Amino acid sequence: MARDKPRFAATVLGVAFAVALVLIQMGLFRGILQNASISVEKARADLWVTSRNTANVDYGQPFPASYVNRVRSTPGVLRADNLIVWIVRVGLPSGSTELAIAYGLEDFLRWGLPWSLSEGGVEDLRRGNNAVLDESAQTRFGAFNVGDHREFQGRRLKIVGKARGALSFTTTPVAFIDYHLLQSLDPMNLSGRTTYILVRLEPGADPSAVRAEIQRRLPHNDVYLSHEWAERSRAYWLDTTGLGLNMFVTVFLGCLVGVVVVAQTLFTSTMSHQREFAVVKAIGGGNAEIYGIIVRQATLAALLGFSLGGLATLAARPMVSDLGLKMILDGQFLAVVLAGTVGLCLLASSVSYRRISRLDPAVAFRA
Amino acid sequence: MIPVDPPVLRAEGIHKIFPHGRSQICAVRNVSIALAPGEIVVLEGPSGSGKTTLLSILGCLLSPTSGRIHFNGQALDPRDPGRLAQVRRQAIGFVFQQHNLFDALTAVENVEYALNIRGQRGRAARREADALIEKVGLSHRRNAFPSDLSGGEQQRVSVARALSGDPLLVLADEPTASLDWQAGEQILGLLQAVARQGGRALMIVTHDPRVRLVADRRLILCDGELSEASEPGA
Repeated sequence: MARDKPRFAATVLGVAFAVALVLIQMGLFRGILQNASISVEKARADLWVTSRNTANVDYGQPFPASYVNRVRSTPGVLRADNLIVWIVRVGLPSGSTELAIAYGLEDFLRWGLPWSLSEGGVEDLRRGNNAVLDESAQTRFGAFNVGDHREFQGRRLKIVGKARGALSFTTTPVAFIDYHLLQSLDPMNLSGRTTYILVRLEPGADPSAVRAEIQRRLPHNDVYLSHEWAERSRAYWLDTTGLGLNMFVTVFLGCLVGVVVVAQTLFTSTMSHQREFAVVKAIGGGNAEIYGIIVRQATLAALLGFSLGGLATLAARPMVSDLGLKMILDGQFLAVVLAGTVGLCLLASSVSYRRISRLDPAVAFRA
Repeated sequence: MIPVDPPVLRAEGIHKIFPHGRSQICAVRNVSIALAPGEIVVLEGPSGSGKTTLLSILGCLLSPTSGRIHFNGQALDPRDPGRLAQVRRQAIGFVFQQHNLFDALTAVENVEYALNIRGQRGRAARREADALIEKVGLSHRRNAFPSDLSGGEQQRVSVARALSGDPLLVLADEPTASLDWQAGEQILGLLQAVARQGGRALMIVTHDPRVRLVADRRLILCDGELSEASEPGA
C-alpha cells in the first residue's frame, strides 16, 4: 500500500486529521480544566477547609475567620491560615468595570501563592493598598504595568507585580491582595470572615485522621484533601457546563473520522490487491500471514498519521497561546492518543481482514 | 523419458461440481491422473473446459466434490484446509499466467517472502533467494521492482518463487501466454531444467504448441473429461 502513494497519502492524512482534532480538542480541554483547579494544586496545603457544599474554588462562601483557631489546635496540624477567594469589581481606565477573582492571604510566600511572577513581588502586598495581577488580565483589562493603579471595589490599588499562569476556569482574571485589605474591600460580606482555611500537616501526620478530627471540630464545614478539592472543583465545571459531553462528542467524531477513512482506504487497497493475497494463500500462507500484512499497513498509517497530526498540533500551539488559551500535551497523554490511534487503525483493518480471510486462493489462477 | 519412480501426485475419480443457480455445472468429470518425479505433463483444452479447476484441485487450492488425492503416497483429506495449506507450503510451487508478483517487493524479496512463508527466515532465506534468482539468470535485476521488469523477467522471478522450498510438484498455468516469443523460449527452457535436473513433477496448462515439444505426456481436457494424446508433440 505504501507504493500506492495517493491512496496511502489519503489514509495517512485521514489519520493525521483525526489525531490533530483529538489532540487539539483534548489539549484545550485539559488546559481549561486545569485552570479550574490550578490554584488548589499549586498552593502548598494538604487540607482545605471550606464552607458546607462549596461547589468549586472560585465560589468561596464566607464563614467565621476564628474557626482557624480550632484547626490550629488540632493534633497533626503544622500550620493553618485563612484564605479568602472572592469576586471583586475592578474599574478600568476606560470607565467600564470587569470582575476579578481575588485571593487574600496574610503570608503569600508561605503558601506558594502566586507560584510564578513575571514582574514585581508579593512582599509589598502587606505594605499598603497593593495588588498583584495575573498578566492574562490584559485580555480583559487592557495593557497594564507594575506601578499602575486600578480601582478594586472602588478603592485605588497599586499593581506591584504580575503573576503568570494564575488562571480561572471562566478566564476571569486572578488578583492577589492582602487578606485584611481584601476584607476591607467588602466589609459587609468579609469582615471577620474567611472563605477557606489552608492546612499544612506535620511530617508523618495521617491526613485522613487529621481531616476527621477537623471535621469533628467544624461540623458545619467541609474538609477535603487537596487532590479531592481540586477534583471537586473540576467536576463542578464538567457537570454544569456540558463540557464533558461536548468533549466526548468531539473525540468520538475524531475517532470515527479516523476509523472510517482508514477502514475505507485499507479496504479499497486490500480489494485491489486480492490477487496478491490469493497468491499468499496459494503458496501456503495462512490467515496469520495475511493479517500480518494488513496489520503492518494499518500500523504504518497510524504511526505516520500520528506523527503528522502531532506536528500539526504543535504548530497550532503558538496560535492557541496567542488567544490566551492553554493546550496541555504531556507525554502520558500523547502516549494514550498514540495507543488509541494504533488500536483504532487495527480495528479499522479488521474489515479488510474479514474479507480476505474468506478469499479463495484459486483466485490466483484466474486471468 | 518415462519415469518409473512412484508418483508425486495421484488423483483418482475426481469430480468437481459447482452450483449454478438451481442447476449445477460439472467442471471436472471422473479424472484420474498420476504425476511422477521428473515428468513434464502438458494439459490442453479449449477455454472453459475445466483446466484451471483441475489445476486448482491438483494444487490443493480447491477441494473436489468427490474423488481421492494422494500426495507423495499419503491420502489427503480435502475437508482439512490446514493440511492442504501445509502441502502447498511444503511441496507445491505455482507459476501463474499473470506472474502475480508482489508489487511492493523487489525480485529477490518476492522469492524471500515465499521462503519466509515456507518457514525459512533471516540470512538463510536471503541466501536461498539470491541463489534462486541467480538460477533464473536475474542476479543483475535482483533489486528491481516488478513494475521495472519486463514480462519475461517477471515470469522468471515467478519461476524462482515457485522453486523456493524445493517443491516436489510445480504447476504452471499458461506460463508463456503473456510473453513474446524469445521470453517464452527462455521460460520453457527454465521449466524443462526445473523438472529434469530437480526431479520435480511439472504440469503445464497451455495453448502454446512449443510446450508440447518438451513434454513427456500430453493430456487433453474437454468438457471436464480427460484424455491422453497418443504422441506428446502431435
